[in-house]
Amino acid sequence: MRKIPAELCVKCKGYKLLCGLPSCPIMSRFRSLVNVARVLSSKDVITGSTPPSGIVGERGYPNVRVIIGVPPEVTGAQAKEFEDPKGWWGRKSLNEIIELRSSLVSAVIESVKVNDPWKLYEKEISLAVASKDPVQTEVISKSDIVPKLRFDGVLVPRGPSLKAEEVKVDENPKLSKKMESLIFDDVKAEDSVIELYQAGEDVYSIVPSLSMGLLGRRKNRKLVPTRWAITAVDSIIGKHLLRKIQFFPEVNDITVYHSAYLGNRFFVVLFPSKYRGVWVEIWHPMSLWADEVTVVDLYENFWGEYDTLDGGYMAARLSVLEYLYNNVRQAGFVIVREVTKEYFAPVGNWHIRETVRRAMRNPIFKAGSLEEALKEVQSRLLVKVNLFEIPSVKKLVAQKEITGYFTKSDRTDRAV
Amino acid sequence: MRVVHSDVRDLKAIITTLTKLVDEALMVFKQEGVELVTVDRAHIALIKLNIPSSAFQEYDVSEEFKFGFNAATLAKILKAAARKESVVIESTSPDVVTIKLVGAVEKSFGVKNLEVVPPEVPELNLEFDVTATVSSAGVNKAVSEARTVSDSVTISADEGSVKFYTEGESKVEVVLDKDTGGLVDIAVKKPATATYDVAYINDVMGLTRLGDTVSIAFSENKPLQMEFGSETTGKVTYLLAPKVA
Repeated sequence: MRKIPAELCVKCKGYKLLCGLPSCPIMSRFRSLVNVARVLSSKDVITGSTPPSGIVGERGYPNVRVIIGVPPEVTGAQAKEFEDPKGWWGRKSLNEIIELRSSLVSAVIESVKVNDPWKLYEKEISLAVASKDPVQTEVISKSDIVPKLRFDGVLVPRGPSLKAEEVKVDENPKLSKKMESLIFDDVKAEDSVIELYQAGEDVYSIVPSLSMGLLGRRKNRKLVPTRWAITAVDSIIGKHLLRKIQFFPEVNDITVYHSAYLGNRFFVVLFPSKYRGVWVEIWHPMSLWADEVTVVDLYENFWGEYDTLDGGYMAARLSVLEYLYNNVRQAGFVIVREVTKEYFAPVGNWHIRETVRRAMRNPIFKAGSLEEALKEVQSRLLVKVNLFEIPSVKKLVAQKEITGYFTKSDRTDRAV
Repeated sequence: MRVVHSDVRDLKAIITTLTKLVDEALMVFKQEGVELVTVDRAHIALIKLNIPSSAFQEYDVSEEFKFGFNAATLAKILKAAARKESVVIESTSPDVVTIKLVGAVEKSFGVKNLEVVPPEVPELNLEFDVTATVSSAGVNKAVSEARTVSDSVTISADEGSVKFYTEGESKVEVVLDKDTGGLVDIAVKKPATATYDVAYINDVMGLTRLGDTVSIAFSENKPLQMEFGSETTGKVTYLLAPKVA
């Protein structure tokens, strides 16, 4: 069998099928290892509160599957625990997250037309998914439960599934006032996302509302596969913040920030410069996608143009942008994600967003130059990688600013 | 203030180029001519425009007038000029500037005069080891070839030639010398090699229409200076910060 380069797998994360195979061999192997041993007994009716949890699939687009997660017999606030990225952070281990998700039954509604989000709306299913609190739900099914877990680099893991004949929402979903008004209004999806964000709604509630077709011009509303919606929300909010940040003054210091969770270690370097950034992912040998040390990187320029669209980067970048926006500063930045073998199961990209958010509250080192800051990060990495040899870092360090030459002599270059 | 230029196409090229670098800019109408200096928002490049009053068909500026404008808006207006047409820029109040495009039909646009703070740019005393005059077509070709394979272009020069090339997996090399007509003139204090962001050079290639030749100057690890047009018809100076390995 021909060898697939680990770099390709790290970029693909089992989803883009860049190797050309019909399904991801790493994912298949992984699934067979962790399939739920516990088989849930099949019942005709499953009741419980959806935390809420809803996913719009992308296979078969424009006829997609909509999956509602329901923890059997768990109701009320307790159900929240089953899908609560913000609450999970720092408290739940990878095993605990997998355990929680494996007891959340995925009720699959087959073949839903993306152009007709109104069917789900009428049954209040889409509203339940966008609810702030868990919503009592009933799943009627005649099929057996398939005791399989599904993992993904972008989405949270999905528990054992069954085909739903009907999903009944038995309680009123609770929506924020802003969300309610945007569902009734005729506002462009992009503007709605920004309005919700400005009203204090977090990414985890904006994504399901966009995904379930609750936002946008009324005649254009569509179901959006959740994976696309996550990246879309990160990039819409990111773009909105970037437009403002570009006019802010530069940070004064060169600072290294750090945080770690679920075997993922993050270092962020901020340095005085106009906005531009680099994303570096270092995968340890024996981590999920790589059997050797694998490094992937990308560069973003001042104008917000990046080499490739990467969901992980978009999530991490949003947290850095939020930090800059809140501090009324712009900066150049380097985000390094080091993925150790402890990260044996992909559980979505929420932990990247959350860990980088935490990192920005935890400065660990002040440096005199960007070079010193990068050397500090390099010394803290658990594997040996020369950051200065990474193409995007080279590019970042190489480009000088013209303002550095605005002095009496032409000999003064900026430190960066 | 009222000035008339017989060919709007040069101004169109300049403003279209500005849209790639800045949102807003300030055109200062002085008795001796029009000036504009701006630094691109990423602070990588500087662009300077000087058009002497003699280049205009009519030039009536009794006292200094500042015209702050949004580059994209002005470019959109100038796009209405399909071919060689005259352009009239006039203002009777400090708040509004009228742009008229005079061809077979006359089109008139009122533009709000924006308050734009110009960047503080001290006099630059850059000394260059290489100064060369190259053909506009040659430099255009070199830049377009380089940007197809790389995001950087390295320029090196000695007494006989100026070479544009890329480094990395795909290699492109374009040599401009006197034999092929690509190089018109060169003065070398010492041979130099320097690397620049090719997208930033490409952004100003629209200005090559201002003349048959472009004057370029650079030193090792120092900014690249490109001059388009001439002192008599109007000149655009572009300074681009280097990439230093």
